[in-house]
Amino acid sequence: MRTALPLAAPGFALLAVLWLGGCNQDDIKSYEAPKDSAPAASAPMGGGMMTGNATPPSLPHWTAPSGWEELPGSGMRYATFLPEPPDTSLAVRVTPLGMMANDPLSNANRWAGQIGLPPMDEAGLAKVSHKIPVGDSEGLIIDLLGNAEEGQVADRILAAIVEGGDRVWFLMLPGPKDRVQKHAKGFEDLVKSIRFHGATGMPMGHPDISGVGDGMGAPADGGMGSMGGGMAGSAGGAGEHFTYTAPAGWKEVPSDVQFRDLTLQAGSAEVTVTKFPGSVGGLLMNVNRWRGQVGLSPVQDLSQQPLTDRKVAGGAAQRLDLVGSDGKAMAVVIVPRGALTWFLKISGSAEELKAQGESFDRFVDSAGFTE
Amino acid sequence: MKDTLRRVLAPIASLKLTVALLAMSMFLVFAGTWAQLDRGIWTVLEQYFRTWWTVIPLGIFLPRDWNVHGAIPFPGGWTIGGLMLVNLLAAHTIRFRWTKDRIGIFLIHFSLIMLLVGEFATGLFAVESRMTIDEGQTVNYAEDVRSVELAIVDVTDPSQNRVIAIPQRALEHKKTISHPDLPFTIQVDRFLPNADLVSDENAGPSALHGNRGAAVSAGVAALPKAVARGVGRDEADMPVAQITLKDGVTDLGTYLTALWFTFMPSRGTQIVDVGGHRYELWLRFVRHYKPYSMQLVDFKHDKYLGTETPKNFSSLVRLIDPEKNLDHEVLIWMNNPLRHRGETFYQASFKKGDMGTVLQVVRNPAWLLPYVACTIGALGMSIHFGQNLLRFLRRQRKTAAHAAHPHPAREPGRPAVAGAGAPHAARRVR
Repeated sequence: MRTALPLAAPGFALLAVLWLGGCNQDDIKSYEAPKDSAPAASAPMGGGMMTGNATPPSLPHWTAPSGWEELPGSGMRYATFLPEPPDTSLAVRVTPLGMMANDPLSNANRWAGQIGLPPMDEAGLAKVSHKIPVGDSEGLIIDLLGNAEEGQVADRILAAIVEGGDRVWFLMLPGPKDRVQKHAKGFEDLVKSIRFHGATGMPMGHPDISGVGDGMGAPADGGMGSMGGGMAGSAGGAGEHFTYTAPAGWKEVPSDVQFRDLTLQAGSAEVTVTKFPGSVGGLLMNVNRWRGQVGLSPVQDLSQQPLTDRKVAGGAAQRLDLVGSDGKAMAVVIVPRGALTWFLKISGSAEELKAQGESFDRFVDSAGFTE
Repeated sequence: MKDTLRRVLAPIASLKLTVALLAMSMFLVFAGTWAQLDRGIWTVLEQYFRTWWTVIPLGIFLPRDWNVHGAIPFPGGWTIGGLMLVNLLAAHTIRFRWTKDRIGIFLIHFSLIMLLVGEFATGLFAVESRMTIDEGQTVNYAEDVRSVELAIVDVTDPSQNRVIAIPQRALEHKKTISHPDLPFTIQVDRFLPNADLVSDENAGPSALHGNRGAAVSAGVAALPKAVARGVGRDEADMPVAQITLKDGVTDLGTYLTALWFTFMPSRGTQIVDVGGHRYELWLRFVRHYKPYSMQLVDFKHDKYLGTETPKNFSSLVRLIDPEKNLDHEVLIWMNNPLRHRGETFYQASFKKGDMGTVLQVVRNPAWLLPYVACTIGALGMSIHFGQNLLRFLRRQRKTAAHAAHPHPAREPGRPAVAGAGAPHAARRVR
C-alpha cells in the first residue's frame, strides 16, 4: 500500500522544530542600545531622562508683548503664549531641542508640508526667511503661507529658530493667515526680547529638560501629552499639569518632596498639591492616614466621615474636612483624573484653616489641568 | 517495521479521535467567546488558546450575578490543535493512498496542516508591539505593552548603553537571577502583576517597600491590586517588582521597581554604582530595538466636515535604514500599512491633541501561511468537487444517451443490460 508518509514525515519534523523553537522565550537578553533621545516613547508624562548632565542649561527669558499671556510649559513644551487670551486656538509654542535639530531647511520643509506647500531648497528658504537680532546673537524667522482652498482662509506658520544655552529653541505661531498677520510684529518682538541666563529654576510645572536634546527635528507642536491609545489606552490624563490662581497672601514655596507638584504657604497653614498613580490604596486607607496626621484614630468604614462631593475642573471630586483633638486640622480635595489621583490639601491649626477657608475654596475653584 | 508503525499510529489516526477533537475545539471556542465578557481578548487568547491546558470556570456560561463557582480542567488550544495535527498526519501515514483521484483531498488536508502549523508558529514567534512617535521625534524601538521586563541599563559608556533585559516570566518564576554581564545577582523578592503606589506612611503590612532608590526618595510603597480585566478603557496593569541586589554576599539594597516610574523618569530613575559602572534599574514595557529608525514627519487626523467623526488617520514617517541604504518618506494610513524587514506597521492610534502617532508593529514570520493555506485549500476543493462534478456529468450523459436509445443494437454474444450506468442492474440481469 502506498501511504502518504512522504507528506506526513516533514509535518512531524516541522512540529518538533516549532516546539523546540518556542522553548527559549524566557531568556535574558544582553544587547547594546543607543542612548534614549527622549523619554520612553510611551511615557504619558513629560520629562527628560536624566543622562548625567549635571550643569543646568541656560534658559531663555523674554518680555511678552502687551496683551499676551504666558502659560507654563508642559511636556517638551517649555512655554506657551496666547496672543489673544483666553483664546487658546492661537498660540506661540516654545520648544527646546538638541543642537542636532538645528537644521532650518529640513524643519522649514516639514512645516511647509503641514500647510500643503511643496519642499523647498536653500534658495527657496532664503525667500521665506530672514534673520533678526536676538541679544548678542541672531535668530532666524521663517514665514510660510499655505495655499488656500476655495472659500477657506490660508494657513500660515510663523516660526523662529534661536540658539541658546547649548540648545536650539523653536517658537511657532501657526494659524489662519489673517490672525497670524495680526500678531506677526508681536511675535518678532518676543523673539528679539529673548535673552539666555543661567538656570534659575524652571517654570512651575515644567519637567526637567536636561536630558532633552538628541531629537533629529523640531516638533511641529512641542507637546508631549499622554500617549492616547498607547498602553492599552489606559493612561489618559497622566500627562496633565496643574494650574491654579493663588489667593492673595499665598506664596509658593520650593519643595523637593517627590510626587508633590506644588507647595504654597497660606498664613501658617501649608497647601500642597500632590499626584499619585492609581487609586493610591483606596479612599479608606487615605482617610485613615489623614486622620492619623491630625491625631484621630482610624475608622473601619467611611459612612460617618465628613466627605462631600464637589466639582473640580469640571470633574467629580470629593472633599474631606478633619479637625483633630489636638487642634490640628486638614481639608483634602481628592480629584481622580484618568490614571492619576490628585490631592489638594491644606493643613495647619484649626483657627488658621477657618481663616483660610474661603481662600482655599477659591484656590480649588481655580484649579485646572492642562495637557 | 511498517506493521509496527501501523500498530502504533492506528489509535492516533482514529477518525473517532478526529471527531472528538473537533467537538472539543468547538467547545473551547464557545468557552473562549463567553470568557471575553470578563477578560480582554489577549488574556483569553493566552488563557484558553495559546496554552496546553486550561481551567474553564463554569460561571462564564451563566449570568454573572448567579455567582456560580466551580471549574473544569480542559485541554488548551495548543493541545487540541497539536493533537489534530498529529491525528491528521498519522491518518495520512497509514490510511490515505496517494492516487490521482485523491489529489483534491490531499490538498485540502495539506491546507489544514498549514493552518494549524501557521497558528502554532504565530503563537510562538509573532511579536506585536507599538511604536509611539511624537511629531519630529525619531524612534528606533517598539514596545510590547502587554508585558514588562526588568532592564538593567549600564549607562557608563557615554556613547551607548548596554542593556540586560530580564523578561517578566523570569521575574514571575525565578528567585535569583544572574547574568555574565551583571556584576551582581538579582534576588526577586516579589513580583506584583498589578499594584498601586501609595505613600509608605501607613501603607500597611501587605505593602512592598524598598530601602534604596526611588521608593525611598519618593516615600512610596506598593500595594498588590487585582489584575485588570482588560475589558475597560481605563484599565491597565501596573506591575511592580521588589528586588534585592547582591554583590557576592554584600547586600546592595532592596529596590522597588515599578512600571509607573517609567512615566516619571526624572523622579523614577534608580541608580546603582558597582565596580566603576553605573546601572539604571527600570521595570518597563518590553522593548524591541530596530536596526532602522522612524521619524514622524506629520500626523493627520481628518474629520468629516463639520463633525468630530474621524475620517482618516495617517502618519507621514521618514524611514531611515542605513544598512539598506534607505532614507525616504512613507505614508501609513488606515488599512494601508508599511511593510519593512518582515514587519508590518499599522496606523493604530494617536496621542492626545494629534501630537504624535501610535503604530502597531507586527512581526509574524508565519503571516503568509494562512493565505497560502486558503489558496491551496480552495484549489483542493475545486479539484475535488470538480472531479466529482465531472463524474456526475459523465453519468448523466450516459443516462441520457441510454434514455434516448433504450435498446441499442446488441453485440453478438453480449447480454442485454437494463441501462447504461447501472452495472449492478446489469449484473443482476446477468
